[in-house]
Amino acid sequence: MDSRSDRLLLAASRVDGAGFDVFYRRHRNAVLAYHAGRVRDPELAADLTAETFAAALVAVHDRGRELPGEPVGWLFTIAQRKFFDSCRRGRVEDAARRRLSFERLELDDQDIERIGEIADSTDLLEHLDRYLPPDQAFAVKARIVDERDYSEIASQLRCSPEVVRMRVSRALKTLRQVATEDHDA
Amino acid sequence: MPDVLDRIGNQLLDAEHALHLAAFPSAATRKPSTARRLRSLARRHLVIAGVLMGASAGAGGIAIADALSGSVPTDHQYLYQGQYAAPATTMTPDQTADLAILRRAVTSADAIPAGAIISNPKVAMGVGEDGANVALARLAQESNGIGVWVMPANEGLVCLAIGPVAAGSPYEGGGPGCMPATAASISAQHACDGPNCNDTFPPGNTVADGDLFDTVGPPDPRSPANLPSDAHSRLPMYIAGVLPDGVSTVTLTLYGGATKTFPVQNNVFLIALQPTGSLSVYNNLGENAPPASAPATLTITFNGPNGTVSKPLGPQGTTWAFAN
Repeated sequence: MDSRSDRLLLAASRVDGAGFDVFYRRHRNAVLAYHAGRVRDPELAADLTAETFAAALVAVHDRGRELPGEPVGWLFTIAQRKFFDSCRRGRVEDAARRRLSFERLELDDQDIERIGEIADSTDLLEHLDRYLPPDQAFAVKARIVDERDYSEIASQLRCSPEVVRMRVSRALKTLRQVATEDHDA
Repeated sequence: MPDVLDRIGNQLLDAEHALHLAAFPSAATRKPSTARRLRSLARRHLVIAGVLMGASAGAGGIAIADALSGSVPTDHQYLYQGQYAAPATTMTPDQTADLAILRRAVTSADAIPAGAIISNPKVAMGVGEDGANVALARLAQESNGIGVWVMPANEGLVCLAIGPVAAGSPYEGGGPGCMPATAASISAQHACDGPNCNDTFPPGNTVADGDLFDTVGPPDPRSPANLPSDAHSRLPMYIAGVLPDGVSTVTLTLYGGATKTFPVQNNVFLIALQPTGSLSVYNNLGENAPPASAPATLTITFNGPNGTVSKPLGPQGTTWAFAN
């Protein structure tokens, strides 16, 4: 098992042209589970997963941008934006895959069954806890994964919505420093 | 058949390689083939590429869709618009004048074994963008199961490929890397930096100046199909380069100052190196590219047609010892 940090893997991808595959393998099930939990359609979930990682790869190799300080939060921010953009446009975003000349994914019954297995067996929240610092994990889980509103979170945490909002806001700001432009890749 | 996530991963690997070559033009020749790695898709692509190349030769030239005959698309056209170069079918005087290896006829012994290098035009920039013709490759050297081939491409480009000559090797070759033969080559005239340039190679780099070299190392130990990682650490990396006629030796200087002189045969040197460690060249947690101040760990010196040339070779960060 490769023990390099996500940041080092992305740096290696940019500098050496290798490393993104380990990053991908480390987080692909979680991203797939994230999308599968939203679109409820295996083929769309697979397309969104491919688009999320393709956009991340394009961003990593854009030398005009800094690499993300928190790659997992950044990755899920891209995933969320790809999901929202796809919803707005009524079709799965494919800008990054077109840019990288990806071939169209053709899924068979086995693939669809496999996606269902991964979605069911992947503990997304555990994954985020494992790879994110507490602040980012909290923010991503609450706002990106659960899409909960502040009052609901505040109720659970027994604090004011303003306190929650500020805490989430700070964390999301950190996550989005790099991701803001990346989803356009 | 790989599952859907593996298939996405394979496409990401191909894209990562292409993006890297676009960002590091000289990596077309410098990229350690250790990073080129893996898996079945590359092999599948090789078969497809072989069919395309075969069809191309049979049709007397252009068989690849969107192929540009005799010219070199820009990186942008190649990477994002799917335009490929047609393989070079003839050689120009600048390619052959200083390279005896390209002046001799191709023989059956020159054929590159299937799977030895990456020749799929979609991911091998030298083939897809520069028009390297693997059917015109000459085997320049073979040592310890590693072969080095030299071949022509379009617009006066000369290409080098290094890879294993036998199936089952723990080494995996990369795609051919190309450079303008001389400063007078057409490709050298329009080399430039930027997204709309023919910037497969950096301006000013030529074969005559020793800028065309490549490496091959053992495959990535992360690949499950490979040997245990401790076995990989004992395998050497091979570095090969093309030099013009008249250059008979090349001297390699390692980090720390050790030097050794090697023969140049058939316009090519082939040197085995053993990795010994790594240097901390990053500024902060490896997030940025190595700074310009990072020390060179390999430096090549030779007496060429333009005088004595001394220049660092990649990759940075790893320290080496001579393996033979």
